[in-house]
Amino acid sequence: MTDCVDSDTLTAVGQALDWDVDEPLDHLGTCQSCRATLATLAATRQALANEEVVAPELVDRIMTQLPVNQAEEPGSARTWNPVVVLNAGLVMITTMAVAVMAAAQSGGPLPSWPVAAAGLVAAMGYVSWQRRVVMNNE
Amino acid sequence: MTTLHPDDLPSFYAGDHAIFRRLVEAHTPRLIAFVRPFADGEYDAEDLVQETWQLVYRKRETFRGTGTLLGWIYSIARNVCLGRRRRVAARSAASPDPELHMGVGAASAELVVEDAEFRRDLNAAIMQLPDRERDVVILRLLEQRSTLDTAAALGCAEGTVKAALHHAVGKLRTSIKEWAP
Repeated sequence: MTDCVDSDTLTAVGQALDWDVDEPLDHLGTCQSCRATLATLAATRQALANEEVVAPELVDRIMTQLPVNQAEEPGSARTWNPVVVLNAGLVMITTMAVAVMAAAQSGGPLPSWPVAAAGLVAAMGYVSWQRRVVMNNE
Repeated sequence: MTTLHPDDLPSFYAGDHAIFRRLVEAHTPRLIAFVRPFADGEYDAEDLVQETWQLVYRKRETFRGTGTLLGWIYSIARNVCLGRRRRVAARSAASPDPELHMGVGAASAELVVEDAEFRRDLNAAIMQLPDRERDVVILRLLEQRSTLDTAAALGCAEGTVKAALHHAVGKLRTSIKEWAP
């Protein structure tokens, strides 16, 4: 009787089969294909569940070899966000064009406010770029 | 857990080393056991694992977050093992086919999981499963989740889970049939 499975195992089998055990177990007892499938499932589960003891040094070594941040990874050099660059460029060009037209119409010198506005737009674009780089590196 | 909590995804995508340390500690015991059959020795298995984690880090933004993280890591480990076999084959020219399937020797009388070649066959077959099937196998067999839970975790129908498991088992059976009784 040493080959008998324990009651806990039998309970698990019964529950899995909704206690409709006779027919499935009879089939399992005679069907080679189902037995092979069950053996495959068991082997796969064991393969997935296998574990080895990992030394802390290996974990440290793995972590040491990870890039410190994305900027250190190949091909991750800083790049301008093309949308920000395009928008900032359009705003700067429009602002300067308006200023030049206004100066030409009035016959006076170029007003200072468009230059300041263009500088502000450029600064906002630069800040946006820096934030993008920082977010990538976090 | 083989899945990544949605709250951890932003940190994962950002490459936060704290979360990566947690992942390395959690998954390396299984990962190193899984790639062991493809290694030549202890240090080689560690090399495979290290290379896998480096790729996981570099490719982290390609993880969709919908499947199991472990399954995704195994798909990367497969490429690492495959690359290694290609390099070995190129050096020795002894094995013209670098695929991970095995031309194994004598058939065993029964499934013996401890056997290195059998493990290599089976692990290779698991790694080569399509993403969805591998996720289902991991959730249903390793985590022993119900069909309903698995479907919820993967965002699909229960029928999809059943079909994926059926297809996966068919492929795994084929890959190890030389070892079957």
